[in-house]
Amino acid sequence: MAGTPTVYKGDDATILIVANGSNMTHTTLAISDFSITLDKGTVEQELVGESGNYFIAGSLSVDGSLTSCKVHSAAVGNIVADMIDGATITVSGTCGSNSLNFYFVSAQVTGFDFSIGSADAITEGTIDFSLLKPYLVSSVGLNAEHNILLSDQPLSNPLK
Amino acid sequence: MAGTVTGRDCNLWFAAHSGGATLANIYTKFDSDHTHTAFGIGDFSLTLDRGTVEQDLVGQVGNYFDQGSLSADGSLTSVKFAVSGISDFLLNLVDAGAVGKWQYLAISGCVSDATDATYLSWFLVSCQVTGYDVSMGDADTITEASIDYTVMDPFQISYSSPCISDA
Repeated sequence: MAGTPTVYKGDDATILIVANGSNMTHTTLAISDFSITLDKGTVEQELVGESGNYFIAGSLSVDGSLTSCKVHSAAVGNIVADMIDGATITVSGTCGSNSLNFYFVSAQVTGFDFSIGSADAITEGTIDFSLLKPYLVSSVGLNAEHNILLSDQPLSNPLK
Repeated sequence: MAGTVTGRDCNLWFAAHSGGATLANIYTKFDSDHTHTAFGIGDFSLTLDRGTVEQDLVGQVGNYFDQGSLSADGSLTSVKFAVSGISDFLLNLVDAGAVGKWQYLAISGCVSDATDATYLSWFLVSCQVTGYDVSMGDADTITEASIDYTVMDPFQISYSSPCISDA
């Protein structure tokens, strides 16, 4: 597991979203912020006569959000199309070289919110998504550069 | 940056209409009296929400999720309302459910720069005003109405690039 800890910034990131048959990068969508959240629940068992309760790991869920200012049919429109049609999108990306990578194919867009303001406000859309198959998410492994890939696909040696 | 638009690159139309109105009739209502200018719109938002259904799974590290139902709603603020402007929002709110009256509200709009018409647009004819809140302040405050709406037939919503429509 030894590696060189590195600090990453937003400009080190790469994001690729596949929706409605179109491959869209962070440049295509003009993404101003992006987040992905892995949540592992905990189950609490009350214990009589003890000074504390017992906890055990619960289920895993994954969701996230992004903001795009390309409110265009060739950008956000593709994501809206799959949301309305009930189709999943692919969300993949990396925080930077030798960093965390993710590749999720079962992402469902659960929310699309766009707001329009005055001439001083750029029109942008906020998109929320959730993984439909979080139980398939695993850490696919490390390669020589200590990359780690989180995926809901059973990929074999995806980093080699 | 190409492909980026601001609020000035937007056009909106609002019109109350009676049930059973044909699309052609609705289109004719989207005249100059029913634009964002006529209503004095301060801000506008549209939200599409896709629910998820969760199925517990024995023996797995996480549960299974599937697509749920689609819903759509939004809000706007208007500084020209009732008789000083166009009263379509109030007509729709008061006459909701009255067959033959202004029981539906059509909301249409688009964002676009002047040279490209393939930005996102929407044409929603089954809207219902669900909230109408008028607030008044002092002499430095413009009186405005905050209006919430919901699309009554979200199951009809489809996307045909670049338009979101329930018609």
